[in-house]
This record gives sequence, C-alpha cells and structure tokens, in this order.
Amino acid sequence: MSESYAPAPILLEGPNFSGRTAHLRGFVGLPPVSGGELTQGLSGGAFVAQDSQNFISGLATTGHLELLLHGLEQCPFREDIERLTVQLRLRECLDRNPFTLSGGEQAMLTVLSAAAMTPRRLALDGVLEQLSDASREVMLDLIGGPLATVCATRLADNRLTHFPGLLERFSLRPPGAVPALRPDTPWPGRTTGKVLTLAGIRFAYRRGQAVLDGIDFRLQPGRVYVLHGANGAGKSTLSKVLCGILRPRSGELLTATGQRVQPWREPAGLFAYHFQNPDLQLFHTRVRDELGLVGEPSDGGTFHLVHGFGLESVLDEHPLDLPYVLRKRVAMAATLAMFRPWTILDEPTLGQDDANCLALAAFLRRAAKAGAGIIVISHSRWFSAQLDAEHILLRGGRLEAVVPTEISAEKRV
Amino acid sequence: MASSKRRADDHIPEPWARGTATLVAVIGVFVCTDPTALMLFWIGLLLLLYLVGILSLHLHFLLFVWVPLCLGLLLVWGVAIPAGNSAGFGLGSAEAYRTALIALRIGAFAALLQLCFVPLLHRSELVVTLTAWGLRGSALVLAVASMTLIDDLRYRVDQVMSARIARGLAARNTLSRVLQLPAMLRPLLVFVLTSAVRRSELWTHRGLERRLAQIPVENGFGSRSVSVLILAGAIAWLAASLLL
Amino acid sequence: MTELTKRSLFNQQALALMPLCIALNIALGGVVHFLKLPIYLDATGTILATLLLGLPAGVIVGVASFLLASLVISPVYVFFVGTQAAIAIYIYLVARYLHGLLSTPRAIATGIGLGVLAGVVSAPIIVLVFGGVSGSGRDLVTALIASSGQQILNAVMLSGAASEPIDKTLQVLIAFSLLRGSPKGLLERFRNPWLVGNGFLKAPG
Repeated sequence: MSESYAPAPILLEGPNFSGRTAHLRGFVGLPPVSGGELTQGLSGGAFVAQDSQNFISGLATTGHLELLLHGLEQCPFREDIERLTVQLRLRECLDRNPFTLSGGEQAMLTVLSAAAMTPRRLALDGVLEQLSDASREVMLDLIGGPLATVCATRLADNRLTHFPGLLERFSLRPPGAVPALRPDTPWPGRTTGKVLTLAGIRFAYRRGQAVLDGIDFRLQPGRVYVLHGANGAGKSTLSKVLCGILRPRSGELLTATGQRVQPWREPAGLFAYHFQNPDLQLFHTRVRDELGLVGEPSDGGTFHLVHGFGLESVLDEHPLDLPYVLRKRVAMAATLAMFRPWTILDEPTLGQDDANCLALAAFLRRAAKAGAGIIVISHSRWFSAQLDAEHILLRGGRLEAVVPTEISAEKRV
Repeated sequence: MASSKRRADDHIPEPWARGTATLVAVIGVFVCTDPTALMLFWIGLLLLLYLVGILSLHLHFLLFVWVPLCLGLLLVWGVAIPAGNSAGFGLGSAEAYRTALIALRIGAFAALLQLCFVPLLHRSELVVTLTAWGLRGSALVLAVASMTLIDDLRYRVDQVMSARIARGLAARNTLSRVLQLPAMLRPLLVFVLTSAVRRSELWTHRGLERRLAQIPVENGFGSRSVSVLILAGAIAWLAASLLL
Repeated sequence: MTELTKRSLFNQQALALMPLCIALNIALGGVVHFLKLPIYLDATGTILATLLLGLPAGVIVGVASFLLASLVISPVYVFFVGTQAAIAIYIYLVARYLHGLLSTPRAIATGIGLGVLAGVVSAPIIVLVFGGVSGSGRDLVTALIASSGQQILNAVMLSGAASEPIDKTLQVLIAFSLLRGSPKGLLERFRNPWLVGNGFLKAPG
C-alpha cells in the first residue's frame, strides 16, 4: 500500500444484525466487541459509534483541548477543521466541558476529534444519524474531501442511504433470522388521545432567558405530530413540560371541555416520554419487568407491543445486556406500554434499519388513526415523510404548524 | 485565541507558586491563635474570591456548612459543656475563645482552598499545573479524568431522574423513594461500567495517555510577578500568625 | 501485553473505571438532594470500586473523591479522606475473607460494622478540627452525651456509632443490590475472587 493511496469513503449497507459494527471495528484494528484484547495504536485507526459520549476522551476539560489532545496542531487539514467548527456553530461549545454538550454537538465533536488524529483508517458507526441534514452534509464534505486524501473511511449509517452519490457501497447480510419490527401490528391501546390546548406556556431555566416563550397550540389526535426545531430550540424542554418533569412558569393546558390539567402534579399521567438515549430509561433486570408483563404474555395490549417490536425472544434477558438496536426498542415499547393519552418519542429511529423504520412508521400511523396521541421528534426527513404527519416547528420559543418544505429551509439557515 | 491566553497568563500564578503559597497559608491558618487576625485574613480572602468570581460558591458553603457547624459548636460547648471544661459561656471564657478559633479556622481554610484550586477545575491550565506538580502517567490520567467526568455523571444523574419520571415510575413518599434507589441507580452503574470498558479501549487504541503528556503548552506558564506576590503574601501571613 | 499495563499498578480498564467511580461518588450527592432523602451516599462509589477493583483502587477512589469533593462541594470533605481509606480497607477485608456480602443479612451486618468503624475513625478528626461537631442533627446526640459528663471524644464516638450504622447499612445494601442487578456479561469483565466469593459472579465451571 503506497503512502499516496487514498481510497474513496465506503458506506456499509445492511439491515440490523448484519455485522456492520464488527466489520467496522475490525477495519480499524479493534476486536469485534469492546473489551477484548488490543494493542496500543495498532492500526493508527479511529472508531466512533453512536453512543458518542463514550468516545469523548474524558481527559480534556474543554472541547478545544479535546481537539488539541487528538493532535489538531499537527493535523494537515487543521484549517478545514477549524472552519467546520464555525460552520457547524460549535465555536462556543469548544470552550465548554464536552460532557455538557447536547447529543448532536457531542457527535460532531467526536468525529472532528477522530479526524484531528489524522488516522490512516476511520470508522464511523451510526454517529452521523443524530445530526440534522445540514450538519451531516458538512461532515460528509470533510470526510469525502480533505480527510479522504490521507485516510480511508468506512461508515455504517441507517439514514445515510438517502443521500445522493459521494460514497461507494458494500452490502452485508445478516446470518439468519433476526428480531425485526412487524409492520402489521395494530395499536393495542384502549385509551385514546385527548384534545389538548396549550395556552401561553412559558418556561425558562434562568430568569430572562425564555426557552418556551408563549406556546399556543391545539393538539388533536388522529394524525402523528412531528416536532421539528434546531438544536437547542427547546424540543426536549417542551416535552419535559408536557410530561410534567418541569413546571412551566406560566400558561395552562386545557382539555376540550375547558378543564385545566396540571401535568407536574401527576408526572407522566397524560404524556409518556421516550428519551433519545434508551440506556437512561431502562431500570429493571428483565425485559419482561421493564414492559410490566405479569406472568406469561397473553393477548393483552402489551403482548401486541412485544410482538410488534420483535421482542419475544429477549423477554428474560437483562435489558441493558441487549444490543443498542434492541435497547432502543425495549425502551420505546415500555413507554408505549404505559398507554397514556399521548406518547412523545424522541428520535425513535436511532439504530433501526430502513425496514424497521418503515414498520415503525406504519405502526405509529395506525396508532394515531386509532386515536392514540403520538408526537415524534426526528431529524430524519425521510422517516418524517413516512408518517403522513402534521409537522410542527419550535422556533424562537413558539410553536407553529408548518409544511415540510419550510423546515428544510429553516435548517439550512 | 492567542491574545486571550496571554491575558490569562498575566493574572494567574505559576503552578509551583500556587502549590507552595497554599501550603504556607494553610499552615498559617492552623498555627494562628489570634481570632482577630484570622478574621482579617478571611475577609481578605473573601475579597479575592470576589475578584476571581467564585464568591457565590463560598457563600453557599457558609450558609449550608459553616452556619450549621457554628450552631453545633454553640450547642455542644455553650449548652452541653463536656466534662473537663469550665462551666459558663460568656465572652472571654476559654470555650468562647476556642469555638471562635475553630469556626474562623474552618472558614478561612475553606476560603483558601476554594481560592487556590477551584479556578483550576474548568480551565485549560489544569493539565499543565498537575504536570508541574509531578503527576505523570496513570496518576495524571486519573486526576484529569475525575475532574472532567464529574459533569458527565451529574448530567447522567439528572437524566436518569427525569427519565424515570417520564416512564411514570416516580415514587411519592420518602420510604418508597429510598426503596427505589437501587433501581434508579442501576442505569448509572451500568453506564459507569460500560463507559469504563469503552473508554479504556479508546485510550489504548488512540494512545491518549501518551498524547495527554504532549499537549502543547509554552514553558513557564503563568506570571512570575503574580507568583512572587502571592508567595510573599502567604509567607507574610504565616509570619504574622506565628508572631501574634 | 502492552508496556503501558506492565509498568502501571492498574490495567487500562481499572484506570478508566476509577475516575468514573470518583465522579459517581460526587454526583450521587445530587441524587440525595433531588429526592430530598435523609441519607448520604458519599461512600457508595468507594464501596463499589473496592468490590470491583480491589483494595488499592478502592482506597484511591475514596481518597480522591473526597479531595475533589472538597473543591466542588464543600472544603470540609478534605478532613475525612482517612475515613474513606478505612472504609475501603474494611470492605475489602470483609468481602474477601468473610464473604460479608453473600446475602442480605450479611450485608446488613457488614453495614452496621462499617458504620461503627466510620464513627470511630472520624471521631478524632471531628474533635480536633471541628471541636466535636458535624453541623447535622447528630450534634444534638453529641451534646446530650456530653452534658451527661462525658469527655468530648467519647461523646463524638458514641454519637457516631449511634448515627452512622443506619446510613452506612443503607449504602452497603444499595451497593449490594446494584451489583446483584447488574448485567452479568458486563460484571464478568471485572471478575475477581471476592466478586465470585460473594455470589455476584458464578464460579467458573
């Protein structure tokens, strides 16, 4: 292999359980699963996966130091990386402790750090999935541009297939039958969504810095809602207020009959909320207990969810022992199994392949038709399009209905 | 960026001076037997804490730690009076002098510790300072990682709490909250173990331990005049507390 | 293996776990605050580190977390690093040689013993530096004992032995239950004789 040899980035395609992660790890000289034997700096490679907080070194108190630690000063395309930090609006983030950044910001920082190392080989496992389309294009420009002159990159990314050109592709297949989402699952809930009016909801973490600045909106079950908004626009804050984790400073929630509801008095009574990171939301020692299944699954509502989410074979496993793709599904199913009038799902597609996403979209559409209140937060334009949804946008602390074209315009600003 | 670094250099002492001055001043606090001198020294430190911008941290300490301690001192030495001590709690008595000295020492010591080390925690000179204090290899990794990861763990704790509420699993009364603690802490422990496995691999794979020692910094980080100034201050304080 | 692991006391995995345990020790204070619970969790990380990684790591985690806590929480923590070291030593000895965490009753006994130990070890510091007070409800007990004609050191030891066991037993039980409920595959990576001896991991074969 000559020094000037720089192959084009390669995209690994394949469904869940097709061995993409093991392939990527092997590509950069890591054992197939973490924890195996390994020798220092064997391949001059770098690996970043979707749980990006585990790929922050923990040895740098600021983002800027994190880049320096990874050798930014010696990096031949240092200027490109520094330009990108401006383009990605990471500049202020670089003065903060990397662990205080949002998931998307951490993902960008970990990829930039890996690039700053100037590795011979770079493997990115699903880490770009949590970025907005615009940010992801910027990252791909780096990977396909300056980085490609010195480094061979391979990526696995469930959503990247919807980008045009740029990458070569490999296809992998799973060795046998794998637990998959089933597209024909009916919504098993008996509870139905309630019409809710949000009137003048305001919230601020610090006085004078309103995150929600007078939310006026009428939520009506029947169609899935997709909640959009830039990083830091307040999507999770709004979700926490609706769920009752945070108490709004002012404003109220009214039912169709004009009755006032106060979620903070009974958290998760009206809105169940599935977090983006499933690992934080799994508390039991068996999947069965996590889902609240008592005894053998009968034909109750939760059983339909177990079947629909392809979880039958793992009911007696420890939830946190499962691979990411299944942990995400267990946490999602457990949240849906609360059968609250409304359920908020934050980035439900993370780690799920296209077939599973389509099955999930079909399930959510059917649930909404059956009267369940469903709100989805997703960066994936492709997935949102499958939901036949009402699109709502959080901007400047206010919530408004939009058509999808306006959103892509917003994100490019 | 270079200019802001230069400005920071002008206001912070060199690592050796920071360590030595703190040590000398702490000895001063504990050998000083004059409450008035301690009080004046503490007030001086308060001023410096204000200038550094961490006075609120110290006030928090005063309110939640120091004041309860003083109440405890009043209770034990003013009301209960342990055996072998003279009775009576009035100004000028041995107990009043002793408790005042204890309270002032704790306060001044706390202020000193916060002033000297807290500003380091979230700054880029942390690694340089620790290296200058002789930390190398594993010890350096351990020290830097612990300080950096507190923010990570605090964030996780917060998230796990919220996530539990969102799943509708929050308990209402104190007893059930205590009983639920293991279930609530389980995701945290698993997170900690997973992170350790992942991060050890990351450190080895990327050779980060070696890189940590190589982070580029100029020699003689910090300002010589500030160093001399604070060391002189500390020595003067020690001398004063020995003489008074 | 690599020269890195040869020349240092800990392997990379232990080295990566220790700062996380230190940070956990400090962050757990937030849990107690958030839930408004009348207990401390300041030794849980030390207990876990000792059980997972052994004596030297346990002592380092205990001492380092209190050094750091003295900067980020309250400077008085720095005076109790010795107590933390004692906790690590005690837990190591009891877990390794007496299998003190094999069952819930044993864990309770271990916790009570830990409480008495912590109370006794910290008493001289409390008397010397803090004049015998701790700034908590415990001072009422100290005052009560002192007013009955006891020396201050005795009063502090007795009040410590009365109040610490409750708190420390809860902490030992929490650590016990956490390790019991952890995914075995993950725990397996930290396999050691006392994790096996106390039933957290199955003996090989």
